[in-house]
Amino acid sequence: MNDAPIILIVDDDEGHAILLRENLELAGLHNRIEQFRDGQAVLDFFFPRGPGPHAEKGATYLILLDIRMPKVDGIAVLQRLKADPELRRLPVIILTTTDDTREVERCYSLGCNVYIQKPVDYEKFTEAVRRLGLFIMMLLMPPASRV
Amino acid sequence: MMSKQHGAGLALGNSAAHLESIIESSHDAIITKTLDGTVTGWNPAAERIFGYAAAEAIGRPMLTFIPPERRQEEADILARIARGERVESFETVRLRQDGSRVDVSVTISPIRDAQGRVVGASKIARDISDRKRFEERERLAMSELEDIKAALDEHSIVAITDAAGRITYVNDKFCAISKYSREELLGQNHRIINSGYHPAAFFRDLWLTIGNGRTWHGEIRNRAKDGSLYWVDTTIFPRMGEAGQPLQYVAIRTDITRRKADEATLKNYAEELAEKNKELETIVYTVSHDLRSPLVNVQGFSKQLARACESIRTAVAAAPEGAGVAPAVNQPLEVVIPRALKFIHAGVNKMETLLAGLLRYSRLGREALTIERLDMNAVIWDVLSAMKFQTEAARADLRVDVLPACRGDRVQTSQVFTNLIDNALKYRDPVRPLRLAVEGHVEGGQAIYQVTDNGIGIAPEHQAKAFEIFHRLNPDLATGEGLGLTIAQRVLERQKGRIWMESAEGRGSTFYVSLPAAGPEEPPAA
Repeated sequence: MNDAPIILIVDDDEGHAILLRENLELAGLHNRIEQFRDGQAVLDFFFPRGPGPHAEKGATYLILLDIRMPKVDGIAVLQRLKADPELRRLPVIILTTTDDTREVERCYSLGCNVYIQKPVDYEKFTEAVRRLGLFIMMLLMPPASRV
Repeated sequence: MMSKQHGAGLALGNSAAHLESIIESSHDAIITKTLDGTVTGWNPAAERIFGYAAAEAIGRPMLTFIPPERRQEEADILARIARGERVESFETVRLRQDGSRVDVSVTISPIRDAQGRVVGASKIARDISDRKRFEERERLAMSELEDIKAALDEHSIVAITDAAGRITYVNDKFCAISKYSREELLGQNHRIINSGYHPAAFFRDLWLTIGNGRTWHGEIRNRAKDGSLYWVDTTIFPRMGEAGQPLQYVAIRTDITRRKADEATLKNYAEELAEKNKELETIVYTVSHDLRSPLVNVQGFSKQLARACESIRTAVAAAPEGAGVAPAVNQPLEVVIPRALKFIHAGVNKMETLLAGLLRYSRLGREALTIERLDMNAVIWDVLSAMKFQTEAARADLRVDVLPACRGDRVQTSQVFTNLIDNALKYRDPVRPLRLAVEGHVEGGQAIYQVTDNGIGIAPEHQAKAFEIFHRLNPDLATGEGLGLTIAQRVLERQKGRIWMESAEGRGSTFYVSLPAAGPEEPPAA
């Protein structure tokens, strides 16, 4: 088993993706990071379809998922992943701009692991991503040490 | 003595003593008179009916007892008697001694002598005033019933069916609305106008109700002959037989087709409105996400720019003296870019505040309210405790009167007063210490609270604007999003309350809040 999980950023906003990536790196995460521009792209990755990159056997992934995206939104991606007996184990972190309580509840009920609102304030954003980085590290600890 | 007189008068001779006793005890007046109309006999019943004693009556002309307008009657009667005819059960009016009139039914027969010549007349008069009165009452009752029926026919659709539901009567309105002729309807089962709209259980319930002698009331959709549908508000009244079995059903209906259509239209409007509200919520949700999303970038990358500037500044500082870069980059690096970034930053913050406010406002409409009895003194006390730091910092002089209780949502009502007191603190007049009073009274079922300050006040021309969304009358005086009063207004409207203000510039403002007054306190739960 590959010990460095690949972080998948699923966000249609190029800027957000860059800010996320750079701040995760600043927070000390040096995992491979892949970006997807919409929900369809990440579904095609996990349910191999089309010429794009597909999930590799043996690799582990962690998904940072935006909700509002073109084609297939984050909710639909979450539903598809959580409906799959294998993929449902993937940790999914919802990272989006809304803090609508109904949306948050919906994501948790669908099985997302964490829901984080993207703060507009840069300092807060950096802090949120830093803590997210720490959280991801904790989440990615080898199963043995968690039990 | 009387009997002797009668006996003589009636000329019955001795031959029929028992007949005389009949005359004596008769309930009908029995009178005899001569052919010229002079009374010759007058029994006790005649005394009772006409009020004249026999002694007074005998010898008088019969005309004495006949009202002036009926005098011709007597002449006619006498003429017929003279011809030997009988006058049978003739209903007329006669005069009493006291001048009042009495309804009588009279039968007059000729009296003949031994040779068969007509010599006089016997008259049997029955007092029929009781019967007349009864008939009159009946006639009045009947005509009243006829009026009611006529009014009913003008107003309602009426049908009568027999116990089996066969139509035995329909009024014109029934024919008009069902578009069947009366001939087509009579004898038909009432099902002829069944539209098939109602489930079988609906009619089962109806028949069960009326079949058991209870009145049924409800709204039925029927089908006219031409297939058109109409709604009727219906009352069916059963008539039951002695043995408790239904005899017939009277159904009275009112055409409510129009009302039903209006109801449907109203329902559509309500649905459309709900749809529109949902749309609006979606828009607000979209706005909150989609507009915040670019802000994350604007803010994030402007911070990166600031960092890049810092790097350039460091590089410039490190550049060897005389490299010639410093003066050229100094101005933009030290002034222009930081100023631009400051405005970008402020703009983003402002935008985010507005978006957050918009979201907050839009969510208000969806928040569930818990309407309960509110002890407003406790509510205000909680609000003031939470704001203790600010009120003490402002050295505010606070006064809270005894307040009437009201019915409202605790959280949202607290928010309204927090906002009002916060405004009083924000917009206090720097030249004098803040005085703040909270008072209340009940008026027409509404508890009215007033929050009065001696702050800067609001000019009359700006007062209406105070409640506008995002409108800030004094943006330089204090921070805020311009939502407080807008939200207070919305929150109170949802609780059947209101907010309004009175203010004088430079003297202070009074904000009034009304909420439904609460009744006397319920006993504490055991």
